[in-house]
Amino acid sequence: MLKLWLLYFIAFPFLYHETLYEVYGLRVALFYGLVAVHCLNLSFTGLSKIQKLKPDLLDMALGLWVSLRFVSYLALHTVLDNPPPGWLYGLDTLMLESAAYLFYLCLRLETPNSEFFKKLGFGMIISHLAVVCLQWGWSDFSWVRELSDGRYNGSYFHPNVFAILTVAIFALIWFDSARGCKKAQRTDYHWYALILTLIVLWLSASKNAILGMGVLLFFRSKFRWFILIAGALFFFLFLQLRSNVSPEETFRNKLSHSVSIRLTIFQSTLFAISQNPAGLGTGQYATRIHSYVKENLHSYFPHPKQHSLNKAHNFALEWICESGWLMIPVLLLITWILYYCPFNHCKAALSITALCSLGSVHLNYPEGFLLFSLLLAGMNRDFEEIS
Amino acid sequence: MRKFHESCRDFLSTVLRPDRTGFHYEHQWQLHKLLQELDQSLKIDTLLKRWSQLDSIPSPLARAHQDYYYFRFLVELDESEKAMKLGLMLQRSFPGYYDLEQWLSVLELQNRNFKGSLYWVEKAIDYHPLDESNYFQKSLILKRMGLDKEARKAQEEGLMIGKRNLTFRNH
Repeated sequence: MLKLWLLYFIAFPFLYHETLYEVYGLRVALFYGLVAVHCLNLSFTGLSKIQKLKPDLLDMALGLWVSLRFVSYLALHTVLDNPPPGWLYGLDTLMLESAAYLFYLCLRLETPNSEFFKKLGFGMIISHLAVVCLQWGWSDFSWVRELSDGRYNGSYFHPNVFAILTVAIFALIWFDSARGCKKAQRTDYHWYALILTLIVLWLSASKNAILGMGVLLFFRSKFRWFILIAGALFFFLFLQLRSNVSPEETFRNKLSHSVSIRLTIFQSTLFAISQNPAGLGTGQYATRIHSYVKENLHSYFPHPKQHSLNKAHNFALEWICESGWLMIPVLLLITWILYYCPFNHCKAALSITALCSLGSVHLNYPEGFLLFSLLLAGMNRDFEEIS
Repeated sequence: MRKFHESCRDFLSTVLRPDRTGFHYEHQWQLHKLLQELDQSLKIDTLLKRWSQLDSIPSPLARAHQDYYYFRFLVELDESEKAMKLGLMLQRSFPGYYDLEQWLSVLELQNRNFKGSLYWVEKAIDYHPLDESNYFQKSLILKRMGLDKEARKAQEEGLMIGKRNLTFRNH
């Protein structure tokens, strides 16, 4: 089954067709199918594995998170004011999150080793590069998505998702042999990955991912001051050259506007959180946030038909907004456990995905969320260090 | 009749795309077949019956989004009663969702309920104060009510906001 998952993630950017209504539709459909096959496979052949599994702190904390999402779905339809007209509202989000937790548990039973993640990192970075080449040279190919305002998106929902996933994959590769040791030798393979990632960052024009990459290299490198200066130069050069990719969208690509838009979205979300201790309900952020949107956001996006606020651009805020104040201790507990997990390549990739997600949407879209679940399953679980 | 057929088809084409990639997309496949039926038959009753049958199938769209499209579809078909019922239900749960209130105002205007139409367009302005089309809608309602002075004021306000929206990205 691990080989199937490996193939699935390597083929990730190619699981797209222009006739799909949702960009991630095929990826999600296949994901459900694979989870079902994996569960069936385990029920027939892996009963002994299931019996041997001893849930640890992280498993239980994540279980708590899923339970809270379920409770908030139930609350939406029974307790909260103005419930939606049917039980199907919010079910899509709940289904995806529950399936992702099942996927995480299935992988925990299979215990993927560092070789699995090495192959995964290598395969995904090659497929990301291949999709970039296709977008560049064969843009009318129906299995590849067109560019988003001149930015390469790797057939993902948004260029930021593409760039941040690439940085996460880079972290998997960069730290595969390092295991937290700063003196580990890098091979050509690591340096190729670095170059490919920088190319993707440039083409995707994602400021968030560049900052994430800078943080990743700065905190785990021998040459941190050199990286800081080189990174700052790269960033400013990037801002100068890539801020005008599309005249129509120039205003959004300006750093000041980009930050201001995000801050306004955070303010609106915090206002919604303060007004709804029990949350808006699972999967209801996009539909219910509009009553709490601050005036400033309208000045950026005046036409609801063209631009509507669908995501909080911060995974923690969105989950708290949907599931209520109870989500705060649950997220703090998970963060605390993850912080004390011994460092490995998955922790590096996971940290950078979560960090970038404090200002972007990728963890609240299926692609980022599924990769996040995979990385959680690959965490080093030697919890003796915690005690 | 031809015009109606074309507007229905155009509207559905923006909402739907034909595809059948898995069980998750069964709903889209059904809608695609519906589009084909529209080519062959112009019977509104058949169309609405098929839409209601689709309610039981899980959708690739978020449910609110799907119902919002259905609501707009009903308004375009002039199915006032059904549209109003669904629109009010959606508005109660998801106030400010896209241009829901503006469509409710359009619906009330079709029903010649000017006060109701004005109420909903004011709501739409509350939720989306910089969308100039709300002001033009308000102007239209006021004119129908015989309040020419107020109508002109709303129109000027809309024009001013529209001018700002055309150029604000250049600053």
